[in-house]
Amino acid sequence: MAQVILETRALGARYDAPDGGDEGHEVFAGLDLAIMRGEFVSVVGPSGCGKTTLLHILAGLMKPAGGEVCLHDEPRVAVMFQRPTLIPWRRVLENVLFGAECMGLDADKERARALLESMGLGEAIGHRPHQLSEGMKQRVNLARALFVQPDLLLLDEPFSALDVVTRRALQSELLERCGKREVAVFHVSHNLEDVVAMADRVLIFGGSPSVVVHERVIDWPKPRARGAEMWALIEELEAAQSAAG
Amino acid sequence: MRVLHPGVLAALASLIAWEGASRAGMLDPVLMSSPARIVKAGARLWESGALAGDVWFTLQVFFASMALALVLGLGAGILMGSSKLAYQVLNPFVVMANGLPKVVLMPWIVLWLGISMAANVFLGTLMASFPVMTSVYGGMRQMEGDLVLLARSFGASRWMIWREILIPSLLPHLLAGMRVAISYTMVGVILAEFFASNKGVGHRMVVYMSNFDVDAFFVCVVLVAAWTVTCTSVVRFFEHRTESWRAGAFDVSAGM
Repeated sequence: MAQVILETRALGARYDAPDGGDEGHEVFAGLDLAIMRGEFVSVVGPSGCGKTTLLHILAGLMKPAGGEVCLHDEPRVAVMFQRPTLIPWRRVLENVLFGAECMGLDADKERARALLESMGLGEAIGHRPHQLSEGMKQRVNLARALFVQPDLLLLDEPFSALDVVTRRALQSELLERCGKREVAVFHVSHNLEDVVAMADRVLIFGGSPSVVVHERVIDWPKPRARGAEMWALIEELEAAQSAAG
Repeated sequence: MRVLHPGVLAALASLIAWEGASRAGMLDPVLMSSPARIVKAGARLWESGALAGDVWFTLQVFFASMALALVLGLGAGILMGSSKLAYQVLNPFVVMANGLPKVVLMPWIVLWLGISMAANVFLGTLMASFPVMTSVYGGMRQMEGDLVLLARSFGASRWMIWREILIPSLLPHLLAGMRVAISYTMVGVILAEFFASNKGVGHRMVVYMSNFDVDAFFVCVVLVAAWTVTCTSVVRFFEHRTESWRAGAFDVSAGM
């Protein structure tokens, strides 16, 4: 039986009113979620529905307004943000080591070097971030997250600024590496094509405050070919999203 | 083929023109020295050792003022940049003090601290703190919140966030503030020595001019200028190194 790695119970988020009054904005409330080890869960929904807020709460970067987040068996968590967020004064290799240094893990340079080489970044190891293309930066970002050997990976639209070819290459890289180690992935996105290509389960957020209005399991094998079946599913999810408002 | 840097070439041309004008009798020798006379006077003062104690005194005041200005400017800049309340409380004082010509406080400083090294350090520090503080404050305002978020997402400790993100982010701003502060400190230190000191290069300049020794006076001017340029160049060197981090650091004169 699949093992739950992350669970939320009656989770709620709220933004305070700008004037500090009682009238805040309730982003979502009563959210119950469970993510299994090795499962890839994507959340989609309109802008402002609370996808990124939820990810920040799961990452421990924000406190929830209510409810709780339960992490089972102390999983190692890594986050990939929308922007590559590389540290400008660190070279590529040092950027990859950064997460491990923060976590107090073994920052083995040889292992980082091998990882970068296997991801096609061997020649960029000594480069500074500003010398890299957007695609390479996001690849380094992925390498940094994978280097800590996470059990749970939180992705905040990491491919949104990339061209189609780079985006697909990075998706394959991510799926292959996460699949091998049974990494659970929580992914928020606007892009249904990305979602359908990678997710085992899709949650659609909608309403105000947001709730999960639609859930769809996608049990197709990976990697997935982009064919008629996939486009039909995208249309189905688009319809569900439109119905949710 | 370029033999010399254009700046060096311009400086050499100015020196030659100055020396030529002096030798041609176009400059009053009582009021104006010449490069050759300055070199001669420099050699005289070096051999006699008359200026060494004063140079050492001024350097001590300069370093003490810079060190205090760095501590105060960095502390106040970080405080104002990280706390809205601190900014609201301190900003009116900062605006007022920044607009005030600090040298007008010299009589009060002397009354309070007497004719002493402390009085000179006080004015030097006062002059230098503001550029450091405003630059560090600007750095705090431009801080990349995403980098802090990234470090926090990996569970970095507060100390690690300061050491790996905040301090390196502030470094270019601190260096820019220091570069401006070097000239301000020197102005403060020399002015203080003019008015309230019986030692130092500034004091010695007043003495030389009282004795109409314009050559020795210009030796002091050259020393002060050389010291300021050297310190500024050292800071500029480190600034260049930090600029290599940034994608936006490009040569604006390229292609012109």
